[in-house]
Amino acid sequence: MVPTAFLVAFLVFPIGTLMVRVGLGLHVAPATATLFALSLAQATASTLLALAIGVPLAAVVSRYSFRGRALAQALLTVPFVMPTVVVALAFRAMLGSSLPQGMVLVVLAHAYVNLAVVVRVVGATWAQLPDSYEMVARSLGASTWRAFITVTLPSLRGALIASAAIVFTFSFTSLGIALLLGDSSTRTLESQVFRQAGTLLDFPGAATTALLQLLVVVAVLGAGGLLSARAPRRPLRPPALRALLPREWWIPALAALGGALVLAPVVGLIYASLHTSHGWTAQWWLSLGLIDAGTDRIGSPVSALVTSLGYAGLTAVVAGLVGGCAAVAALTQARTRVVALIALAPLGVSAATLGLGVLLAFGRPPFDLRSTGLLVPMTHALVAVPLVVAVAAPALRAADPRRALVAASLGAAPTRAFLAAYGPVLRVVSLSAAGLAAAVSLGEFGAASFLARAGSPTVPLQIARLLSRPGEQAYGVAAALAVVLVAFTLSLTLIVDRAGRTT
Amino acid sequence: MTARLEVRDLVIGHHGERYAGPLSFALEPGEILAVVGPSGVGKTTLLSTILGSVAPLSGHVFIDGTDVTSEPIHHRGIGIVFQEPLLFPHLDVGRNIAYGLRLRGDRDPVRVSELLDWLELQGLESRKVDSLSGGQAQRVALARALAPRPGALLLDEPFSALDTDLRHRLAVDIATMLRREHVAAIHVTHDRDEAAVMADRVLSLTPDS
Repeated sequence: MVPTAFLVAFLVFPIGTLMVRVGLGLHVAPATATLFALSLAQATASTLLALAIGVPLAAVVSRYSFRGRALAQALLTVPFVMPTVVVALAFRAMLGSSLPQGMVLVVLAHAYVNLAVVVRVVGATWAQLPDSYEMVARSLGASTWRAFITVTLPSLRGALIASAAIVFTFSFTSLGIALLLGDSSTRTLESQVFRQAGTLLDFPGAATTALLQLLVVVAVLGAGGLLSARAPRRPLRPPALRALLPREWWIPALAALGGALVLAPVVGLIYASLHTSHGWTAQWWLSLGLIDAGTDRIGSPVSALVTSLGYAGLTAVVAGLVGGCAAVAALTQARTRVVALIALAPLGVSAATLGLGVLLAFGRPPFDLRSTGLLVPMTHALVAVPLVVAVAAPALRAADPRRALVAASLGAAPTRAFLAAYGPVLRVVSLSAAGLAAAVSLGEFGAASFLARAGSPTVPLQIARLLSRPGEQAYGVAAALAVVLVAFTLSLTLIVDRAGRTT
Repeated sequence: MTARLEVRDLVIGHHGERYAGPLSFALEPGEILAVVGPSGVGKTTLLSTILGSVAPLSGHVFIDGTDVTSEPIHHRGIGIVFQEPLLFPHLDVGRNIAYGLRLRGDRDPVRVSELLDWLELQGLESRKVDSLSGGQAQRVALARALAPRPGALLLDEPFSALDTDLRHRLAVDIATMLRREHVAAIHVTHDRDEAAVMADRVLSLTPDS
């Protein structure tokens, strides 16, 4: 009940309002059609590149046992939790002088951000595949490569499709990276929504674009879900990791290369925060507390940090509660699919669309919530709920429901019996889910750009504003602020990861 | 003398589909009924129905003469041991065994140490459950089920994950325990030898029974 009510209030109502604004006459500008084609091409290229780099890395970190494997696996998830605005800034810091803004830079950055999706999703399935199938194929005369193509690849098909659908969606609806690294050829529909609503104040146009994007995303995720659902069932116990043969020295080397690739932009960012054209400096860091640091009085970076942390805390509480309830509801067999689908719905609606919808629905009478400061955390919670459910539901489902039966047979009333079976998992899961939601909130850009009050921007907004100003100082302060944001996000993710591993 | 556990005209099934029945039998205190039959015939469903996690299509279950058919699981006083021990991972061995007693407000340590003794688990009371061997864990599960003195105990292939030697020793031990505690038991098994060792009677479920 709780999740449903929350979703109706903050998803269905705003998107409904958006659609009403579109009205009956859809006006798709010719420019939008071009944009659409360019977005498709960009997202396809980003997806293929992410798969090409991610699949070999997934194989290396999920199948072989070598020193540093756990570290490599952890490093490879870093890009995904880096706020997109920060990734954009890092790529500028790293490649800005050699690559002009445009398609290549955008595709590289998207592949970077989504590497973790491919490594995690494909790697999780790969780790569950017993070697024995491939061994049987080999014993029947198949070469290593042929055994991979005929036996392993079909088992990975579901995971490949699922990760491709997610990467495509993220790249197609990208905002921060498209805005900060792109040129006119790489505008996404999402950045068009942002421009139409934010700069041109063309709300019907923005709503039409948002709706068009929504249709594509729903189609892609739906097709991905259908195709990947036919994946074969996995055994319960994952097979042991394979020990390295002496001639397989390249496997740890590949893992190290992957780790270095992931760390390079972060290093570039730290370098940019400590550097001017004249050499090393600490002045960007020292000026983080100043109200006009790098800007003309849009508020100090530190106050943006305080705003962001407050929003993140509220988001954690709300998303933890709503997502936890949804995950518990998903345990009941009959409702599993419905609840899972409803909770995943916000994934299909991009952040800027959501931001615009919420602004139109709650930004003026009769529901004017702008002054309450609740719009940003509520919307962030909505963005985070699918992730919370994705973390919580499998963990809860992995707990054996028969423990509840055992407890009941010993005299425990229903609630108590439920807690006996799920209590320990639930405690850990809700903590990690809340941490995850906070991390999402800290880095979120699209929705916040519509909803945050002008005087109190979040950190990603502040970074984007700083970057839109000329001058070395704005750039240096933005880099220092980005390093702080990365530090916060990474620590949260680390805590979540730790907690998750103890279940 | 009223029977400990009685099943009267019980028809078992799921979602309206009939698996077996009507079944009727009565077990005296300490009596053990083995239920054998091919996979899919409804052995586990029979246990679930008596436990109360699945509703019967028709018929009744009695404990000590009281009809418990519409009682929830936690009011029936019927214990269960599954194939896996399913110990509560957040509680140590002693607290797992005491779980049912504590729900009744009974904090008497005598019952727990008595069960630890009988089941040869001495010294393991404060161990974490994930440090136990398979045989030990299954003994703890049995002690946990017996601690609150249930009227009846359901055993759903409790030894099938153990090796043969251990299995036979445990089967003999459990049969002794059940008789000493006057608990009526239903033991579902694939293994006819095991059934012969433990049971007083054997019920053979077939697809058309």
